[in-house]
Parts: sequence; C-alpha cells; structure tokens
Amino acid sequence: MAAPASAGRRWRGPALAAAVALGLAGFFFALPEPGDERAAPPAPGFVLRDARVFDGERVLERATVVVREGRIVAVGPEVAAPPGLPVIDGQGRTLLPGLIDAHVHTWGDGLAETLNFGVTTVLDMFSDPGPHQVLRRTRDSLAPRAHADKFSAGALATAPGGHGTQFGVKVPTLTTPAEAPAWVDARLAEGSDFIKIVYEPRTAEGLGPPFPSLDRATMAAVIAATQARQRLAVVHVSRLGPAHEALEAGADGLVHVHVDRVADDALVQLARERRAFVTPALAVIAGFDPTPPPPGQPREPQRLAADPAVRPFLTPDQRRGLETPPSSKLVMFRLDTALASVRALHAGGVEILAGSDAPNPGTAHGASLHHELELLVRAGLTPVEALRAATSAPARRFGLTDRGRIAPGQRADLLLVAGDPTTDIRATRAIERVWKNGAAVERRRYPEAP
Amino acid sequence: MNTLTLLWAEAGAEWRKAWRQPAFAIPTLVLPLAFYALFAIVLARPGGGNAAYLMATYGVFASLGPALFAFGAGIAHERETGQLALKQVSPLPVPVYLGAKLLSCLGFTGLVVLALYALAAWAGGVVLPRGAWLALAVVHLLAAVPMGLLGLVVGLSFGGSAAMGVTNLLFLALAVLGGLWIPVFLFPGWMQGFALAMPTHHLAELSLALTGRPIAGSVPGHAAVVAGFTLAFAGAVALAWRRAHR
Repeated sequence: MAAPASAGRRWRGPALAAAVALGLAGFFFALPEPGDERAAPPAPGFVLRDARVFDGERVLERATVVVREGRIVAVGPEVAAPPGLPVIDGQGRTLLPGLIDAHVHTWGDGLAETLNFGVTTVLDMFSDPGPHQVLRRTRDSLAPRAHADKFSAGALATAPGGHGTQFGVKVPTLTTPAEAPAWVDARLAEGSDFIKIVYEPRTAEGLGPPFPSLDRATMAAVIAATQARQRLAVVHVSRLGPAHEALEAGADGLVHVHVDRVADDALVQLARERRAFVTPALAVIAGFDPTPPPPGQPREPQRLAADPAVRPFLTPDQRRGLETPPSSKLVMFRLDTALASVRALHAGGVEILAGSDAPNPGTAHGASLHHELELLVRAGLTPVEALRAATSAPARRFGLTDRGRIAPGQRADLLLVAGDPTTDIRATRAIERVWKNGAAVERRRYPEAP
Repeated sequence: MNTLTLLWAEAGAEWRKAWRQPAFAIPTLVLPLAFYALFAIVLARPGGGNAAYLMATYGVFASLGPALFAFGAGIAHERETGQLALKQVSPLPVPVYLGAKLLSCLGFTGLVVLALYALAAWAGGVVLPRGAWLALAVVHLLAAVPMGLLGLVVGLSFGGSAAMGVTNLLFLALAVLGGLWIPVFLFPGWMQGFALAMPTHHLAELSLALTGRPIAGSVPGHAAVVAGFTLAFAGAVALAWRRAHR
C-alpha cells in the first residue's frame, strides 16, 4: 500500500521542476524581441476639401487632400473625395506639412509639448541617447502617437569639461583627431542619426568661453569621419572665426548663427560655395538677449507667451520659462546682430533652417518654432521661405524622405491653421487641427495657475 | 539525508512559511510592480522612452523587498521569538539554515522579476533581444544574493524593532541613492557620489548596459564591485552569526 504513494511522492518534485522549467522557457520565448513591436493600426483617414495648401515648396490656392492609413494619397485642385472617409471643410484655412524644428534638446515631456504646437518632427542636437534608442525603433511606424518624432545627434562631440558636459548627461569626450573615427562609430552604434560637434576655441589672444573646446584638427577629423560614414556633421559655433573654420573643415551645417558680430562677405561666400546650411536659432538668442525692450513693450519671449493663440497651450513651466528675464547681463547674445547676419546669409544664397534651441531659457518646445518663423521673416525671408525652412528644407537636408511635404506617399503629419501664413507668418499659431500619422491630435490646454 | 536534500527541504519550508503569511508576502511582491506600473506605464510621458530604463532599475529594486523585509527583518523576529534557538538545537548545519533563507529570497525575487518583465513587455512596450532578456534575468536574480546577505547581516545584528528601522533606512538608501527610482544623473553632484557606495547602483548600471544603454564605467568594473560587495556582506554575515550566538 505504501509503495505507490512513495513512488508518487518521489516523482512529484522532478515533475514540478520540469513543469516550472518548461513554463519559464515558454515565458522567455514569448517576451518580445526587436521586430515584435506592437504597432497600433494607422487611423483610417480623412479628406480635407478646398483649403489653401502649402505643400512644403509652393502654395496651391485651393486644393483637396486625401489621407489614408497614415499617409497622404492625393493632393490637388481636381481631386475627388473617395467615399467612406470623413470630409473636413478647409475654406479660409491653410494646410501645412507638420513643422520640423531643426534644433531642440528633448527629455521628459519635450516631444509631447512639441506636438502640441503642430511641430511633428524634431532634430535633436544633443540629449541622452538612451530614450532615443527606444523611440527610434518605432519611428517608422504609421501608428497614431501623442508625441513628435525625433531624429537625434545623441551625445555631442566636445572636449573634456567642454560645452555640453555641464548638464549631467554622460558625454564621452575626445581630445585628439586620432580618436575621431572610433568616437563617431560609437555614436552611430548608440543610435545617433547625425553628428553634432561643439567648436568654441579661444582666440590666439586667449579670448573666448571659459571652458575647453575641441581643437581645430579634432573638429575637422570628426567631420571627416562622420562624412566618411555617409552621415551629416553639424557644428555648434558662437563666433565668426570658428564659424569660418568649421565651414572650411567641411561642416554640412552650422546649428547656430554666430553672435559676436555680423556675418561678413567671406563667411557668406564660403557657406554658399560649400552648400552649407545655417540653423540660426534666433528664438534662443532672443531669449538670452539682455537688452531691455523699448519702454512699455514686453521682451520677445514674453510677447510670445502672451499671444492668445499660444498661451493656453503652454504648460505652466513653459510660461514661466518664457516670462523669466535672462539671468545674466553679460552674455554677448544680441538679437539685432543675429538678425543682420541671417539677413546677409539669406541674401547671399545660404540655406536657412528653422530651429528654436528649445527648451533653453526664453524658449518653449513647439511654441518657439512659431517664434522662430516670425524672426526669420523679420530677418528678410518671405513667409513662404520661412515655411520651407521649417518643412521641406530640413527634411531634404537631413534625408527625411517621408515628411516635410504634402505629396502622395508622404507621412500624413499635417497642420491646419486659420488664415494665410503664406502672407502673414504669425498665422501659423492659429492652429485649428494637428494630425500625426493621419490621426487627429488632441491639443492640450493648461489652465492659468491661480 | 545529504546536504542538498536538506537544503532543498529547508528552503521549501521557508518558502511555505512566507506564503502562509500572505499579508507579508504579497506587499513584498506587489510593491515594485505597483511602482513600475505607476511610473513607467500610467504616468508615462508620450515619447519619453523610459519603460526599458525603469524596467532595468526596478528589476534591481525587486530584490530589495524580499531580501531586506522578508528575510532580514524576519530573521531578527525569529531570534526574538526563540525560533532560531530551536533551529540551533536541531542537527541543522548553519550554512544550510542561511542558504535556505537565501534560496527562498531568490525565489521571491524571481517571481517579482518575471511579473515585472510581463508588465514591461506587454503593457510598457519594452522590446529586447532574447539574449538580453535572459542576461537581464540573471543579473536581476543574482541581485538577490548580495541584498539577501545584507538582509541577514541586519537580521543577525539587531533586535526585532531596531532591525525594522535599520531595514527601512537601508531600503530607502539603496533604492533612492542607488538610482533605482530616479536616474542618478538627475541628482545634484554631491548626491551622485553616494550612488557609488550603493551596490544597487552598480547592479542598475549592469542592467542598463544589458538593455543597450550607454553607462558610466565598464561592465566588468561594475561586476567586480558587485562581487566585492557580495564577498563583504558574506563575511559580515559570518561575523554577525558568531557574535549573535556566542
């Protein structure tokens, strides 16, 4: 009688162990691997009828746009609305490609705040590469999403203790040209889409910023290594001399306009000959400019924060950021000088891209790109040129083939505004609707703090 | 009975004992999962991309509850109520008694870690190569060894109520200063130094490296520090055991 019971007990342990082992193996086998990402199906689509359409290059005064499953399928004055899709009346409104901010730094809520202002794509000029690796894997999907897409430099190229190392994010630094190829390879392995270099050397007299910089040879070596790997190399400069040197080293673009003096003919000519672009980031210069405004007038960022088309959609932190005056009176940032440089560069045939450098002091994600557009027009771009600088131009420069234009096959990142921003640039803020991947985005409003 | 059978039987008894106090076992299991669900899923920022980061650090956090509360403070309680004396007069080798505690601690940690992965994968959208999932599980499970040893040191060195206080303090320090809840780089500089003294920080860095994140320092470096902490805690357990039973 005892034998079967003891045999049963003897086998119970191993049987349990085997079952647990099998269960564990099954569990680990079921865990998602790269490629298993769940993507929600794209939104079915819609038809927008009789709107003015800025397609990224030019203006169609009256056109119909058909969006299906996250992509634009037809654009034109004679397009018929296919049955089964909801129709939106666009009369008196202008449809724009979702805007691209060509200079931001994102963490936390940045990408959601950005989308809240119709900015559907950002070019991140330095932030923690970790979150980017995660986002990068789902970036190509057409699933509806509540945040802007990001293309990123990841960590920036700078010297030990140099600009970019002061924010807490670990930055692998370099000091010699020989380190450049391995440094660039490491960034590309981390998921960097392009490479950003900080170049802030002191002058021969020892003047310049109080932190170390890459030397000229190392800056040039990083550019060469990046371009040898078919990627874009962009450079942060703040002074005319280094801007010139970066262009001579073959930089694809400068991601600030220098601020120490107005651009000279030599710089304009060099930038034009090398076909380099400049992202002036006038919004951040306006934010840092310590010059007091004319009596009775608000400072530039305060004016943006007070704009009734902008204010309700700013988070309390964003409002505070725009309203706080610059903390230092010593900085050399002068909006007038920068505007004059952009005027010279643009008149000289240098391509300008729109970027805000949000969320630096005096700027806010999303909102400040609209400010940047206004400042670019003040610097002499036509409204249509300014809109190109925030849509098709950055897309073309950074190889983003699926966005920046309203054309069949393009990702349906769209912005519908009241009025006509192709004649009055400030109309970009009168946002009526935003679509990301063809799905309507619910804009978030934030009540005023009591 | 050979030692292994004995260890297995003793660990089984520990395991059953824990489950017979569900009011004790369940919070230990649920706390890390609830925290993860709150911060990585419910309050997740669109486009924040933090679900994988938090999974790596909360996997280390998962070992703290079982190690410190269930088996650290628990052993102090056993000493006070005389259960330990009873064990000592039985013919049970000391390493088997302590080893069984550690094994059962590993079991608890394993359960939390598996539930955490399920939550991260199917609610948080975390995706990792198969090898990374497995390697991460090994690190998260092995985190229970140094943490369990630390729990034993506390349990053997302090009386029941003092052990609870010390455990709470250790728990918070290891979780917060180790960067398991908030990334260390968000702390002011003077606070970041404390992280280096926390074994949890080195375990978290190892886990983050396995999820493909760039980390400060090297993987062998962090692994060596963790091994050092483990040896030191093991030595401290031996000392505390002798002092507790002279």
